[in-house]
Amino acid sequence: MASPFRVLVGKELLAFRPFLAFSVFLAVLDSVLVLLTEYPTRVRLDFLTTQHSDSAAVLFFIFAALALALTSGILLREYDERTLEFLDGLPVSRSQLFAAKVLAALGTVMAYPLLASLEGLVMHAFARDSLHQAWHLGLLAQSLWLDGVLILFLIGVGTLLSLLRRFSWMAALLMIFSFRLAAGWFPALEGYSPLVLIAPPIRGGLYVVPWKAVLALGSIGLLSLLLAWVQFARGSDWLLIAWGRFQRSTPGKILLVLALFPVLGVCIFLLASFALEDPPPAGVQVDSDLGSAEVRFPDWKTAELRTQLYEFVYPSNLRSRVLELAPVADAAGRKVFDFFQTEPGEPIAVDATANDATHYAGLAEWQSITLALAHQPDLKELEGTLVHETAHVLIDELSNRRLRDHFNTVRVFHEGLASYLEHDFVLTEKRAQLRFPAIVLRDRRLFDFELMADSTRLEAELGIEVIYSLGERLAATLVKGMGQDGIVCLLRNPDLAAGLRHLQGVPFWQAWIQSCGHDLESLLGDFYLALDQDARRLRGQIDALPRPRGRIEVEEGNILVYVLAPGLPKPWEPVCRFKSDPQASVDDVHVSYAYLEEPCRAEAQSIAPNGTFYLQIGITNFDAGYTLYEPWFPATTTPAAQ
Amino acid sequence: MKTWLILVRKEVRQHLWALAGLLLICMLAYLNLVAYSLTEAAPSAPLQALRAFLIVYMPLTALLLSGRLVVAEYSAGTQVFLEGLPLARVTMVTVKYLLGLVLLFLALALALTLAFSFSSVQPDLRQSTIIALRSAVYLWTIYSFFFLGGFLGRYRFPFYGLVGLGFLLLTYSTDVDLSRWGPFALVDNTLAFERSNLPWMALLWSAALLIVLTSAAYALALIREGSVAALTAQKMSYREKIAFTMVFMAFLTTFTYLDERKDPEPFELVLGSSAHDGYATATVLTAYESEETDHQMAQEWSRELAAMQRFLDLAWVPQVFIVERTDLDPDLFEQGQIQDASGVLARAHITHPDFRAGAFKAWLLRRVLLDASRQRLEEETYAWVLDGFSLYWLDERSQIDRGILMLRALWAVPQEDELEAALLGRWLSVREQLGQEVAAGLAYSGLAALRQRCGPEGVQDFLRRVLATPVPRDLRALWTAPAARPVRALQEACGLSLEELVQDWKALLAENRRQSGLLVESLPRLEMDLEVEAFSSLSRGLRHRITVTPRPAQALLLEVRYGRLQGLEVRKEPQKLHLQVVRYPDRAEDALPGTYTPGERVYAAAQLYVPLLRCNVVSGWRAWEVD
Repeated sequence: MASPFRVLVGKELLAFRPFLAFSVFLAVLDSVLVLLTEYPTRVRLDFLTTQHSDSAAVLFFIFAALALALTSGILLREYDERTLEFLDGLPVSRSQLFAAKVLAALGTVMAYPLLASLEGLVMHAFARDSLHQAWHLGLLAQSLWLDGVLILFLIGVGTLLSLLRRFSWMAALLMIFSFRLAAGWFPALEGYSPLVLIAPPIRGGLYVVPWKAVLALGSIGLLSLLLAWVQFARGSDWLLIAWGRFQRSTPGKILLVLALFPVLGVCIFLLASFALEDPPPAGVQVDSDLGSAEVRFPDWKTAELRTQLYEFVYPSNLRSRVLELAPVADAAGRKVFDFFQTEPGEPIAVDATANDATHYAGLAEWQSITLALAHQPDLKELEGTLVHETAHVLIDELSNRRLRDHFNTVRVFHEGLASYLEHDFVLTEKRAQLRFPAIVLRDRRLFDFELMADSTRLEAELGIEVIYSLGERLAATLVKGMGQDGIVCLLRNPDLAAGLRHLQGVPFWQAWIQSCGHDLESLLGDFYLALDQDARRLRGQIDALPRPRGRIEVEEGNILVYVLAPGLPKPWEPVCRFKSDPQASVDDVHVSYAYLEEPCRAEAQSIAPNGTFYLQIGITNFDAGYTLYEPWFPATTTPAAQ
Repeated sequence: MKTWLILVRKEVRQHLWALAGLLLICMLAYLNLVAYSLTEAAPSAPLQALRAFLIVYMPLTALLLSGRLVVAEYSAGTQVFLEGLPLARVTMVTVKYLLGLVLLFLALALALTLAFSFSSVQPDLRQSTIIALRSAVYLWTIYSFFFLGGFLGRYRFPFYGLVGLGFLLLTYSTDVDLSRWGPFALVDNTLAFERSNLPWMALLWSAALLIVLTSAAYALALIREGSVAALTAQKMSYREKIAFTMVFMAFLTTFTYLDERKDPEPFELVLGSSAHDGYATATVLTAYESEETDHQMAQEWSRELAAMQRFLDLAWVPQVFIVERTDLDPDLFEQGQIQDASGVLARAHITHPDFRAGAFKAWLLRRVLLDASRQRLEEETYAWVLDGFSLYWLDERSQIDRGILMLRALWAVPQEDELEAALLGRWLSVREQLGQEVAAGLAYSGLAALRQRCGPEGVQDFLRRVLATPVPRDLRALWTAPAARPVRALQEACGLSLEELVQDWKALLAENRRQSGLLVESLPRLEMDLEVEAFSSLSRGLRHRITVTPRPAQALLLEVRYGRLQGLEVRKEPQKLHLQVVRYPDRAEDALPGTYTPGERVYAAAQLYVPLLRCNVVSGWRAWEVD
C-alpha cells in the first residue's frame, strides 16, 4: 500500500499535470524545430556550451517562468479552495504536505532539462563522427545537477514569493532589477548570477563548477523554502488571510498600481536588452560596405618569428612577407648596431599587427618598433624601414632617452641619422631623391639652421618631408666630420643629463657638438658647402622647376588659387596651404591640391573670417613623396580700395 | 436620453480614477508632442509627432479604456445589476462604446489642435481635413478592435498576441505589405505631407474593418443574453494559461521555422564586375578596380561554375563573389560569412604574382559545393568525395599537374596496406592527420582509380549521385540521404563495392610508387609532441619537440600552428590559430608561447611547405590536454 506521503506527491503531480505537459511540450518543440530546419545528422550536444550567450538567458527565462507560474498558487490554492481543512484532517502533517508539493514542483520543472538532454543524446548518436566520438556523459550529468540547483533556487524563491499572491511576479521582477542594478555597481556580484549555473566554462572535458554561485543560490533556495515552510506549517493562517484582504482593499490596489511602474521599467529593460543587436563575436571582422548585406570574416590570429635581433609579431595572413624579411633583417640590423658600436641585447620587438596603419611606414618606441607591414609590399622598402626604426631605437637607448627631452631641437638629427643609415645600408639608390628637396631649398635660401633646430616651425614653414631631407644631409656631414665615434659620443654624452639639460635650439646644438670636441659652425659650413656643391651639380634640374605663384579669386564663398607654374614637369603638381593665423600649428593648416588645371580651394568663411588669410604655394612630387613650398605670404579676400 | 445620461454618469463615476490615469497618459503624450515640435527644426515636425502620438499613445489609451469600460464591468459581474434595470442590453453596450469613442476623439482633437498650431507652415483646410479624417478613422478602427477584445475577457491578450503574430507571419511569409493596407496605411509616413489626395482605399478598408469589429463586439455582448461575454470575463485557469502559452510558443516556432526556410536575398557586391553563364553568376573585384580585368575573371569563373553545374547536374549553384585582399599571403584564401543573404564570398590576393590560382580554384569550388548542399557534404560519409572532387575536376580540365596529386597521395599512404575501406569512414580524422591538401590528393587518387575501372562517365555518375542528390535539410534527410552515400552510389553507378574500389586504389598507388622511385621516400615527414612544464599548481607552459625525417641537409623554417580549444571544440580553422616560425633543427625543441591552465586543451601541429608537393605537409593535427 502506498504511503500517505507518496499519495500526496502523486496528488501534487496530478495538479501539476498542465505544467508537466508544458515542460514536455517545450522539450519536444526544440527538437521539432531542429528536425524541421537542420540535417538530423549534423546536430550535436551544442546546448552544453551555451555559456555567455543569449541561449543561457533564454533558458533561464524558461526555467524562471515555469517555476514561478508553478509555485504561484502552490500553497495558497489550498487556502483559497478550502482544501487545506480537508488535508489537515488526513493523517499527514503540514510539513509532509509541504515537502510533497516542493518535490513535485522540482520534478515537474526538471522534466524539461531531463527530456532536452535525452533528445540531445539521441541526436548526438546520429551525428557522431570520428572527430566527435565522445558522449560527454559527465558533462551532461553536471549540466543536469547544475540545472537542479538553479531550479531549487527558483522553486524556493517562487514558493516564498507566492505568499505575496498577486505581488509575487512583481516582487520577482523587482528582485531581478535590483540584482542587475547592484551588479552594475559591484561587478563581483555577477559571479552569483543564476545565469552562471547554465553551462559554465568547460575545462578538461567537464564544467568548471561555479561553487560560489551553487552554494549561494542553493542556500537562498533552501532558506526561502524554510521560511515558506515555517509560514505554511507553523505560522498562523490569519496572516495570509489578512494579506489577501489588504490586496483587495483600495490601499492595496494603489500599492499595486504604484508598483507597476518599476515593473514596467524592468520589462522595458529586459525587452531592450533582448532587442539590442548582438555585437559580432570576438575575433571577427565585419564589413558592412562590401555589398547588400553585412559580411563577417574571421580575424587572422597573430604569428611570431624570432631572429637574433628581432622578435616579429604579425598577422598570420602576412607570414610570407615576414618570412622574406626575416633572413635579411638581422644582417641589416647588425650594420646599425655596428654603426652605433653597441652589442645587441634582448631582441627588439617588432609589432606588425597594425593592419590599418596607412599613414606611416614605421614607428619606434623604447625597445620596440611598429611596422606597417600590410601597406609596404616591397621587401627593400620594408628592410629600409626596419633599419630606420632600429636606428631610432638605438639612438633612444644610447642616449637613455635623454634626447627626447630636446626632441623639437634635435628631431632633424634623430630623423636625419635614421634616414642616413636607411639610405646608406639599404636604399642607396634612393638617396639622391631624398636629398633633392634639401638641395633646392638651400639653393633658394629658404632655411637656416635656426629653423632646422626648431622642427615644429620647420614643419610649419616647409613641410614635414624636409625634416628627413635636411636631416639626412646634416647627418651625413656630421658622420663625415665627427666620425662614428663622434656620433656615439653625442648620444652617450653625459652632459645631456647635466649642463645641456636646460638648453634648446641653436645654443643646445653649439654646446652639444662642442662637448664632443667639435665646432658646430665649422660643421655647418661643411653642410652648406656640400649642399651648394650638389646644387651646382643639379643646376639644370633645379632651374627646370618653376617657382609657383598664384592668381587668387573668391567665388561663391570659396577662395580659389590658380597656381601659375609654367613649364611644371611631370610628375609635379601644384599644391596650396592655407591658414588664418600666421602662428597656426600644422594641424590647423588646410591643404588643397590643384589637379588638372583646377584651382586650389578653401572655404573663405573658415580660412579668412575677417578677410585676411595666409597662403603658401608649392609643387609636390607624388612619386617621390615630397613638396617644395614657397614662403608663406598674407592675402585678402577683398580687393584693396582704389 | 435620460437613461443614457445616467449610464454615462455611472461609467464616469465608476472609472473616475482610471480616467484620471488616462488623462495623465494623454498629458504625457501632449508634452511629448509639444517638446518634439519645439526641438525639431523641420517644418513637418509637429505632424510627425502627431503620427507618433497616433501610433504609440492612442492604441495604449484605447486598450486601457476598453479594459476599464468592458472588462472591469464583466469580470466584476456588475453588468448583472445593469441587466436588472429597465434598459436594453444594447443600450448599455452602446453607451460604453460611444463614451470610449468620444473620449478618444476629444484626445485626438486636442492633439490635432496642438500639432496644427505648432506647425511653422500652417496646413490649409484641405490638408487639415485629410489629416483629421485619416486620424479619426484610424483611431475608430483601433478602438473597435480593442472594444471587441474587451468582450473576449480573459482571452483578450491571447487574442491580441495571436493577431499580432498573425500579421507578422503574413508580412514575413508573403509579399503582403500590411503597412500599406487599411488603418496602417492611414497613419503611414505620408500623413504629415499629403496635401491633396485622400487614401480612399485605405479609408474604405478601415471603415469595413471597423464595421466588422464593432458588429463582432455587439454580437459577443448580445448573444445568449450576454452570457458568452460574462463567461469569457471569468478568471483564466492554469490549463487555459498553459494552453495559450503553448499555442503562442507553437506560433513562435512556426515563425522561426519560416524564417529558417525563407530563401535569403542574393548578395550584391557594391563594386566589381559580374558575368553570367546559364544560371551561374560570378562577380570579381580586384584591388585596382580595373573593369576589364574584373570582367574577364568574372567570365572565366562563371564559365567554370556553369561547367561544374552541368557536369554534376546540380539543381543550382550559388553566386560567387571574389574580392581581392592585398594584405593576404598569395597562398591564403578566406571566405566571408554573408549575413542574411545568399552567395559565396571569397577573398584572396588574386593579382599577386605568386597567387596559387589552381589551389584557389579547388578551394573555392569545394566551398561552392558545400554551400549548394547546405553543408551536407561536410558530413564524414561524403567528405572524401568532396575533398577529391575539386582536384579531379581540375584534372579533367587539365588545369592541374596530375603527377603532383599522385605524389601527395603516395606521401599520404607510405604503404598500400594502410589504405582500407574503413579509412573512408573516418575521413575527418584522416584529413586532420594529413592536412587538407594532402588528404584531398589522396581522395583524388581514389577517384582516379575509379576512373580507371568505370571510365569518366562512371565517375561522373558516381559524383552526381554523391554530390548532387537533393537531400532536404530536415527530418526527411534520414531516408533520402542514404541514396547519396558513396557506398550505394558506387554500387549503382559502377556496380562496385567499396572494398573493390580500395583494391583498385591500392593498385594505382603501387604502380605510381614504382614509377616515382625513391622520390616519395625523400619527402620530409614531421612529428611533433607537446610537453607540459608545470610553472605552479595553476599555470603550465608547453614545449614543442619536432622531428623531421629524413633529416634535412640544411636548416629549415617550419611553422607551428596552435590555438586553445573552447568548450567542446575538436578543431579550429586556420585563421583562428596562432603561428610560430621555428628554425629547424636549432629550435626543434622550444617553448610554445603562452601560459596555460590545467585542463585546457591545445590544438596544434607543425607544418612545412614542400615545393615538390606544392603544399604543406603537417605533423598531424592533435588536441593536447594540459594536465
